[in-house]
Amino acid sequence: MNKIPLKKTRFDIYIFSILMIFASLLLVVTNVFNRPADDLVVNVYYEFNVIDTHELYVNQSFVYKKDDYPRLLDDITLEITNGKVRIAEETSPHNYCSIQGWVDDSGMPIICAPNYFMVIIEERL
Amino acid sequence: MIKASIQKITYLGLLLAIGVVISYGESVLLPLAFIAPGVKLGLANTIGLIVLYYFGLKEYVSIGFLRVILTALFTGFGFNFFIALAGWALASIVVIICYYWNRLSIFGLSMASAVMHGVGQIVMVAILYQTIYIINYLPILFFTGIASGLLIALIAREVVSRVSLTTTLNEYEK
Repeated sequence: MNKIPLKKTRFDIYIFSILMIFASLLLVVTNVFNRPADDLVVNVYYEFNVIDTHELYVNQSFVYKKDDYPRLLDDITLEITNGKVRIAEETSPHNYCSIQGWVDDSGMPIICAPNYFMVIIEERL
Repeated sequence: MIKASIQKITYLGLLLAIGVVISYGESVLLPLAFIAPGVKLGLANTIGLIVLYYFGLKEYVSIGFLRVILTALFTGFGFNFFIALAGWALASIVVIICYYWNRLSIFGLSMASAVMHGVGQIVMVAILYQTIYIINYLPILFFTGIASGLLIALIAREVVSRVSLTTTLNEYEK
């Protein structure tokens, strides 16, 4: 059995550098190829399917009822204001998706995993 | 020989239990979801690195898999489970490759593992939701993975340099 070294090696520095460069390139590429802001919508997923598409720049809120979507733990309130979206109210063990707060980046998901519910800003199809 | 096997199983069982408790405790006490979804320190991976250091690759992979299964007993075998499983699978593949390559220290292994764990999770979400747009979120997971990987490696290094499992075993035999 080869025990892993506890002291840093030069290959650690290489891996660190490669990961940092790749992450930076990815950041640049994803920002460059993002569509103009007026071409974005809020897609709502339930059980891995899109169930709703909302305008990002129309202030509005929606309530998704447990009666209509049985795998929700309880009703979920979605809020869209000034090009930002958030889960205002939800029920889950740790409330991760409501803690996350407002999101205005395309591609940044709000995932309510125990509810099988996800919201993401995407380009209009 | 039998005694050594029993001791090994006992240690692995204890480490697995600690890993599950840390994993669950971290999700309750240290929620980092306000940074981005899925972002966590991954403190339980410290246990993985300790197992890798003391016992080897086979035990590392087994304990990691069992930790995912046992954690799912608390959180359920739903969406979370598949994401965690994908993260574990990709991270383990990378650790296996790096382990046999034998050039990286605990820091390099931990960094690569943490980053690939995030990539595995994103790939699974992209497959389940059939949306490629979520890859925009990858850079965040790369940066947070690098930072958490380094921190986890630092903690694991401090633990293995202070706690010698073989010494403890010998003392137990006396």
